Amino acid sequence: MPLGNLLIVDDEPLLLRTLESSLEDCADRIFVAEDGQAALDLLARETIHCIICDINMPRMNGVELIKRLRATESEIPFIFYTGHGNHQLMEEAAMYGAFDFLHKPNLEGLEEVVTRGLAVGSGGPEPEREPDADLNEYQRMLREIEDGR
Amino acid sequence: MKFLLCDPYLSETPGYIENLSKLVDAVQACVTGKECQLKIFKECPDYLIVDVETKSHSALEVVKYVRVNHLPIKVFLSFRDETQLQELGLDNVIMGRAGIDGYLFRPISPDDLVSKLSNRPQVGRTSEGLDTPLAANEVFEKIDFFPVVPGTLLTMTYYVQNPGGGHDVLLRKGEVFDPARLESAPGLEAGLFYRRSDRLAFISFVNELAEKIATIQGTEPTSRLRLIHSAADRCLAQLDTTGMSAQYAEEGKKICRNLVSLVKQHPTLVEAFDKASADFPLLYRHWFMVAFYSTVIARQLSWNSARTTEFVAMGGLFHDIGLRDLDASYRSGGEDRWATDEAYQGHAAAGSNYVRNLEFPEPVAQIILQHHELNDGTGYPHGIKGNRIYPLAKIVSLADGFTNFLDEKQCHPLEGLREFVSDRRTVLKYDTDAIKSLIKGFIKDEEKKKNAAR
Repeated sequence: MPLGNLLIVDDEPLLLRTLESSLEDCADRIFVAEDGQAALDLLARETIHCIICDINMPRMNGVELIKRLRATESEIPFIFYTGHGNHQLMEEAAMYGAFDFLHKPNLEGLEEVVTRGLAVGSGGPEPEREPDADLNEYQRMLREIEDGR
Repeated sequence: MKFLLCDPYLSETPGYIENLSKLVDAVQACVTGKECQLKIFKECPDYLIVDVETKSHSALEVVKYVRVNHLPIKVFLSFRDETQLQELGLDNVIMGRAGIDGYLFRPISPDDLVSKLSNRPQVGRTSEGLDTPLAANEVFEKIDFFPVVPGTLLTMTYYVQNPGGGHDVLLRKGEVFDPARLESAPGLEAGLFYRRSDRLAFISFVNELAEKIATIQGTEPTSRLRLIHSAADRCLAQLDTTGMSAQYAEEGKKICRNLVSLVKQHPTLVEAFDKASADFPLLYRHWFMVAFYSTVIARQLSWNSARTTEFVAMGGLFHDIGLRDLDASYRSGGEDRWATDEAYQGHAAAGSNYVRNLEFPEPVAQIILQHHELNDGTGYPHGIKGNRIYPLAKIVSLADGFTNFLDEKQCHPLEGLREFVSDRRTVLKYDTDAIKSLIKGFIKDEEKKKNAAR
């Protein structure tokens, strides 16, 4: 079963290499970019299912990158990692639909979050809601509670 | 014994590492604080020596990282010389409070290192006596049950009220608890009290007890829930009155861990919770209930993990933390009354910034920021919808909506659930998977297995 392609964006080559090697089993292909512009160039050429990105980068920060990407109607899941003290950027990131947040330097939960992000990103666009079907499903489940009592 | 040395002047001192390596098994070295934190995470050293001039994450940031994460590492600071130590205004007491075990001067000689390690702790961690005298304006808090088993050492002093309205010591900190002392104690009928200044100690004690009784076979979930509820109530009271320190935040995390492990152990806990909460109609019941239902929902999601459950429990417990900055009148009349009020809506962003300053994990800050965002885009602060809403915030948003619904209807949770999920507006406002998970939380275990097999 395909896992999906991951893009890692960070201006620190050491961290890029560390992440690339620790995530090699989680994705089909891993691409790396050292800044936001390089990431946009790469996104124009390759199919990417999830992006993991530092929030603080010179030239183009992570929030600017997600903003530009969302302007192209792209809903690729975006996982940000950050240290403390970026309140403003974090609040902005929320506006553009960040998928999850990891904390530097330990990045606890990295593999789990990336795996989930790739699964969501590979699943295609969000399906249209069907409220009537949902209501029927909830009623069916409620009947099971009654049966189990 | 593993050593990690972080020193920006490493390259200026040839043979430095080789010298130290003669003394200890392994010495790792780095020059920036950022590298240092990565090595701490990867190498788990026993000792860390970090130079005070470290850049790109300062020495104090590195120390904070070690202490906040409770890593079992002995931390030493290194200085250029005595003058630098004085110029920075650091002394033994200040360093001790920051969690630093000692200091050295660079370049560190093997002799110095041996001497410091054998003399640890070098800096002063002040220790109080067994008990401190009562202040004139001391405030006392009543406890609803006595959470101590016979034979245990008392970690705080307990009081009874005297006929004059003052408080007398009944059980003293440091004594071994003897239940006979409670039998004939005058004034006990009015309850047992502790000093408000001991609140943190009480929460910590209750948390530990809740953790311990989880390992005792046959313990009723309700007993553990009472303990967790009691700790949560006091923790929330603290943040509501005087704000919350990092230590309270740590206890908050323990409360959430206890809550998560309880829900894990007892899948039919919804009923037990309902019973326990009826016994304790506490002021902060709503916040605790949101944490509780958030945990129930998260546990049922196919992509759930320990990390996500703990985050939603914390986000649930602290979701309305931003209300503390608002006028008390905002707390009456239900959330609907204030739904369009700009100042009220600001509580989401204020709350998220508040917990960020306490260095809560960012997912918890995002949950708090987005707990009023709704799936159809009619929520606030940003009016985002669908997949753009942070997945963990969708869980807490539903738990909050459901809890408000139950409060408004004043009915049994199951009756409330029936009505809640039959409302078309609910279907549109909240995430479908989250609603299904909430319903599954009410289905008994055998039924869940049957469903999974279908």
